[in-house]
Amino acid sequence: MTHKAIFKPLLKGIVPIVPPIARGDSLVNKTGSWRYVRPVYRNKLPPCNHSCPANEDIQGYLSLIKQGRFLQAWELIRRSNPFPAVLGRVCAHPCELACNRRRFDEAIVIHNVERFLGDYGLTLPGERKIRDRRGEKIAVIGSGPAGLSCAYHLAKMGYPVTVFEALSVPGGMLAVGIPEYCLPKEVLTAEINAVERLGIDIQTNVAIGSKQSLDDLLGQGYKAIFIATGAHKSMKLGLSGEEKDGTVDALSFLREVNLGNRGSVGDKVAVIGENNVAVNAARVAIRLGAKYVSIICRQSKMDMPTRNEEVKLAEEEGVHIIYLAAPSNILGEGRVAGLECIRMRLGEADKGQVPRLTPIKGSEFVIDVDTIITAVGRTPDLNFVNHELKTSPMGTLVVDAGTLATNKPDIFAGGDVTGGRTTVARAIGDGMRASVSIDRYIRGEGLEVFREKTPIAGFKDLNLAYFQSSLGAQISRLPVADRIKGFTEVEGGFTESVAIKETERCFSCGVCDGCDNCWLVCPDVTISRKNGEYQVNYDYCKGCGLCVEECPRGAITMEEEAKWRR
Amino acid sequence: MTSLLAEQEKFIVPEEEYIYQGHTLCAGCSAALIIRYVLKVLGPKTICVVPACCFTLMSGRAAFGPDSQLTMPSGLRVSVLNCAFETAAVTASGVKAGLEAQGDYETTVLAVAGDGGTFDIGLQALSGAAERNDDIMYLCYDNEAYMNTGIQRSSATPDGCWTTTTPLPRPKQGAKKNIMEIIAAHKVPYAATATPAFPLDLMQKVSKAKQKRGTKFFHVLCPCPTGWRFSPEFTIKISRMAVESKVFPLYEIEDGEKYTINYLPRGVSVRQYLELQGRFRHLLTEQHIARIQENVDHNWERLVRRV
Amino acid sequence: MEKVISGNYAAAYGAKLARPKFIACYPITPQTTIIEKLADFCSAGELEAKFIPVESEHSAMAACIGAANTGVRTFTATSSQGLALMHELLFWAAGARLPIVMSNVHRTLAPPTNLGADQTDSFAQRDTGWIQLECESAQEILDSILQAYRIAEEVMLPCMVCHDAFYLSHTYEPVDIPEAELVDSYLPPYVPPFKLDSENRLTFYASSTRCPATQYEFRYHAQQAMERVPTVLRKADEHFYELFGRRYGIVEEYYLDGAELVIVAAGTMVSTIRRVVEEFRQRGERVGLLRIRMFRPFPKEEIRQLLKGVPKVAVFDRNISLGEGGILCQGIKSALYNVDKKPVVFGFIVGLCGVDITLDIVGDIVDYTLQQDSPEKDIIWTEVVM
Repeated sequence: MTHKAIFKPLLKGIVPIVPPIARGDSLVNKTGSWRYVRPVYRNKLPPCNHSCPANEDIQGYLSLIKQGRFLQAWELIRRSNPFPAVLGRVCAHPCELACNRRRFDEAIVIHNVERFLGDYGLTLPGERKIRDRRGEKIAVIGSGPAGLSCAYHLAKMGYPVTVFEALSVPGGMLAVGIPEYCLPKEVLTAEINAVERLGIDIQTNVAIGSKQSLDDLLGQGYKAIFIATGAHKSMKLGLSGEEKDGTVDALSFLREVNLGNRGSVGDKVAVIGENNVAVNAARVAIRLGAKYVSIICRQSKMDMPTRNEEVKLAEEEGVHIIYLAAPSNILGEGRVAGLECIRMRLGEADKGQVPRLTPIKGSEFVIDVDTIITAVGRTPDLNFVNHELKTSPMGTLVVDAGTLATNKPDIFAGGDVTGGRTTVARAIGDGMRASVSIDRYIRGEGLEVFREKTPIAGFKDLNLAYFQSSLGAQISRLPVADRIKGFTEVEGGFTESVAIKETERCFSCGVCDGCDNCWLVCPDVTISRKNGEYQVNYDYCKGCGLCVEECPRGAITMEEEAKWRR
Repeated sequence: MTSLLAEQEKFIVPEEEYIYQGHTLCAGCSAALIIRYVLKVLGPKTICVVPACCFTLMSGRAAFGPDSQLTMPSGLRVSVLNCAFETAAVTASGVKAGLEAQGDYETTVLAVAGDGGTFDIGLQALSGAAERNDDIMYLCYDNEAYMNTGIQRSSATPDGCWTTTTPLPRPKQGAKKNIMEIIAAHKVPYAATATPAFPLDLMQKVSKAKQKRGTKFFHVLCPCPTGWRFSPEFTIKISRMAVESKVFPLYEIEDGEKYTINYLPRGVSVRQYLELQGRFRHLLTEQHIARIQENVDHNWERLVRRV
Repeated sequence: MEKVISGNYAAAYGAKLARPKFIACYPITPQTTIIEKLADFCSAGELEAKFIPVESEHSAMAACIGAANTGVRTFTATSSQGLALMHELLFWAAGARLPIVMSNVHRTLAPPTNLGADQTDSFAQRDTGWIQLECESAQEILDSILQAYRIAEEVMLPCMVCHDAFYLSHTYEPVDIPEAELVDSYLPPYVPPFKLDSENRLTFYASSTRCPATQYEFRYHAQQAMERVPTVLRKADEHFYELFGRRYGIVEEYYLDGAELVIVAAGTMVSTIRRVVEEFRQRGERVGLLRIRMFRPFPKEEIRQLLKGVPKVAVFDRNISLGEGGILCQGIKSALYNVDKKPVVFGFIVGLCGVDITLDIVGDIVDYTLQQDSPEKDIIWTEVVM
C-alpha cells in the first residue's frame, strides 16, 4: 500500500551526490506573455517625401547616395522625376522647409544633392526604349515639365507617345520662362534628350487648336490626351498706358531672351510684380545692362511669395525692391517716361485671413523709368479647348485633384493649365499622376486615388541624443561682379564628397536605416538582423519599449497587444 | 567619446550574445543590458559569481525539468555560482584562486552584485579583495536601493530620495556613498563608472580592464523602472540624463591616482534628470532643485580638480 | 618522523600532508599558530597551496566555498567567535555539498572575551550539516584531519575537526608525523564529482523558491549522506589502521565491561576521566567511560548498543545550550529514548568557559552519581574550584 504523505525522491541529478547544480537555459520561459504592448517595425513617412509635389522618395535617394550607390539613387529618383538636374536647380524645395533637421540645426541641402544626382545621371548612357510596346497611342499637348513627365512615365509603361509643342523648342516654362543663369540650356536639353530616347515623339511648332483640334487627335487614333499647355498668357495690369512703348510683359520678355533674341532694355527698369517671374525679369534686366532696376512689390518683405534666396541674390546683384507699393499710373507720351506708384498699408488681419493691403491716400510717388516689365500673374490660354471641357472662373481647366481626369473620360490635364500651385515640381508630379490614370483608363480599370495613410515622421518622433550638430554644406555662388556680366550659372553644385557628407546628415526620419540601435538596446536580446531587416522575437519580447524610444528616427511603433491577439 | 554613432567608428560591437531570451528580469531592466554588454566583451571564458540580489533572476531558478531532471534555466550563457549575499568579492577571489591552482589563468571571474551587496553588506569582502588586489573583476550594478527585496534604502540611495524604508515625509537623509573614492583608496589597478546609455564606453572599459591583472571595479548606474518609478522605455534616457546633468559622471581611476573623465557632459539642469522619475517627485521644488544642483556642481568640480 | 609538537602544529601538519590547494584563514586565538605554521609551509614551498589571509572568518569560509566549487581541496581553521561569524556559511558549505575540512579550536563564546576551552562554539553548529570529530590528543588531531578528507570527499559533506583551547592547542606532545608518500597512498588527490569552470556551462545553487520540492530533496539527500558517514568512517579508520597502526573509531569504549556507571564525555577531559575510572575500578567500583569521537552525525546506534542495560550514565558537558541543558546529554537522552532497559541519565555541566576539570572534581561527580538513584535536576552544575 502506498502512502501519499510518504516521501519518494524524484530527482535524478547530474551526479549521484545530487548537489543543487544543474544545466538549463531560460529559453523555456516564453516571456512574451508578459507584454500588453508590442513594438512593430513600421516605417513612417519622411516629411520631405510627404512635402514633395513630385512624389520623390527623397529619403530613399539620400540614403543610397550616402552609401555611394549613385546608380540606384538615380534609378529611384527617376521612378518619380525624369528631371532631377533641372529640378535640383529650379525647385522651391518645400522639402527643405519640411526637413526635421531644420529644427535641430540646419535642413539638409536637398536640392543641391538632387542636382548632383541629376548631373551624375547625365553622364550615364540613360534609359532605353521599352521592348514590350503597347498599341495604344497617347497624345500629350505641351512639352513643359508636366507634359514631358507624363510622356516619360507612359513611355516607360510601353505606350507610344506623341508630344505636341506649339513653340519651336521643347520644355515649356523651363525653356522659355527660367533664365539660363538659373537653368543652363545644356542641362535642360540633355535631360529632355534623355527623355526623348525612350521613344517619345516630340513635335515642335505644332499648335493644337489651329490646324488640329482635340477631337481630330482622337479621330487619328489617339486613345487618350493629356493637356499640359501651362499658363503662358500674362495678365494685364489694368492700368492705362500699358500699351506704351517700353512696356512689356515679363513672360514675353523672358521668352525672347531665352530663345536667343537678347533684345535690349533701357537703363532704368521697373518690374511690377512680386513673384518669381518678377524677380527673374529683374535679374535678367541687370544682366542686359540696365543701370537701375527696381521691383515694385505690393506685399511686405515678409509676405513676398518668392524663394528667399532669390530675393537675396537679386538684391546682391543690385536690384532694388520697393515693398508695399503698387503702380497707379504709367507716365509718358507714346513711350514710357516714368511710373507713378502709391504706397500700401498692411491692415489689420481678419481672423484667419491674410492681412488686407490698402493704398495710403496721397502717398503717390514717381519713379524715373524707361522700361516697365509687368509680372502680375499668368493664366492658361484655353482657346484650343472646345466647350465640352469644364473650365473654372479663373480660366483654368477643371480636373479631379486625385486622378487628373477632366469631365471627358479620355482627356486628362495637369500642371499650370489646371491652376493651383504653379510649381515645376507639382507639374512633374501631375505628369506622373496623369500617366497612372491614363494607364488605368486604357486598361479599363477604374480610376483610383491613392490616399496616403502612413503617419508622417514628426520632429517629436526622433531621438536627438544620437545626432551631433553640424551645419549644412555651403552652396558656392559666383561673385556678384561675375554674375551680372552674363548668363553663367550662378549657383555651383556639390562635389561627390560634399554630396555624400551632406547626405550623412539626413536623419532618415521614420525610415529604418539599419543603425542597429534597436538590436543593441534590447535587454532581452529579442531583436535580430537578417538581410538588413530587423525582426522581433515575439515569444520573448516583454514590450518594454526601449527599442521604440531609442530608435533615432522613430521607425518603430508600439501597438496594443490586444489588437494582435484578436 | 560622445554619441553612439560617433563611437561606432572606434569600437566594433562583438556580435555574439551571452545572455539568453526568457530571463525573468523586469521589462526594461538596465542590469540585463549591462550584463549583455559586459559579457559580449568578456566572452565564454567567464564565470559569474552572483550573490542574492535582483541579478539572481538572471541566473535562473531550480525546477524539475522533463523526466525529473533538475534544471536551472539560467539566462546567462556562462557558468554561474550563486553565493551568499555579502560574499560576492571574496567568493570570486576563492574561485579565481581555485582555478589558478589548477592551471587556469585565462578564465575571468566576474562578481556581479547590486549596490546593497557592494556598498553596505558586501563592503567588507570588497575592501578585503581590493586591498589584496585579488585578480577578479567586480561589477556593481547600482539601482540605488535594495530593489529585489522591495525598494528599501541603501547607502547608495541619493539624498532626499523616497524608498519604502524612507517614506515621505522623511525621505533618505545623507549623500550617496562615494564608492569610487573608497575603491580608489585601495589603489586597485582599474576602477570606472559606466551607464547603459553609453554602451560602447562601457564595452571599451571592460575590454581595457580585461587586459589588467588585479582587482577591476565597475560602478555602473542601473536605472530601475520598478523602483525609480518610471515607464520602462525611459531606462536609457534616464541613464543618459544622469550623465548629461553631471549627477553620474563617466570616469576612470587607474592605480588610485590617475583620473580620466571620459565624457564632458552637456551640463543640463538636474531638474531634467529628476523629473523623469517618480521617486523624486516630491523634490521638484525650486528650493530642492537648487540645493541638489549645488551639490552636483560641487562634486563635479571636485572630480575635475582630481584629473 | 616523531616530533614533540603542540596540538595546533599537529593540525597544521595534518593539513599539510593532506595537500590542500587552497587555504583561506583569519587569525583568532587560540587558532593562530595553526595558520602561522601553514603560512611557513607555504612560503617555504613545502606546501603548494594558494594561501589567502582574508579579512574575516566569514570571508574565509566564503573563499573556501568559492575555491571548493572549482574542485580543489580546501582548508581553514577558526575558533569560537570566528566560527560563530561563519555560521551562515556553514549551512552554505554543507548544503552545497563541498568537502571542506576545518580545524576548530574549542573556545568560549563572548561576552566577555575569554580564551578558555569550551565546547559550545562547535556544538552550537550541530544543525549546520557538518561532520564533527572531537579529538583528545595531538596525534588524533593530525590523524583525524587526514581521515576527515577521506570521509568528506566520499560523502561530499564538510567536516570539522575540533580540539580544546590551550589544553590541547598549546600543549606539546610527541606526535608521529607520517611520511608524505604513505599519506598519499591513504589520501589520493581529490577528484571532484562536479566542478565550476568555463568549459562546461553549469548553474550552481539557483534559487529554489518557485520549486521548493527540489530543495526538499537536496536536504533529503544530504541527510542520506550523513547517514552513510558511520560506515564510511569505519572503513577509513580501518584503512588508516592498516597503514599507520592507529585507529579511533566512532566512539571509544573504556572499561565498559559490567559497568554500573558509564561516563560519557568528549575532548581533553577524557584523559582526566580515564585516570579517575582506573582509580575507581581499582577500588572495585564498576565505572566505565564512553568517549564520543564522532559528534555529528550523532552516534545513536553505538550509544544504544553500548548503554543499553547500563544502570547509570553521567554525561559531562563542557557546554550549555541555554534553556535546554548540556548538548551532549540532550543527544544521549534522545538516542536512548526508545531503548527498553535504558539507563538513568545524569547531565553535568563541567569545565564551562575554561574552568579547569581536576581529578578531584571528576571523582566527586562519580561519587555523587554512584550514591544518587536519580538526578535531582535536569542540569547539574558542578562546583567551581578556584
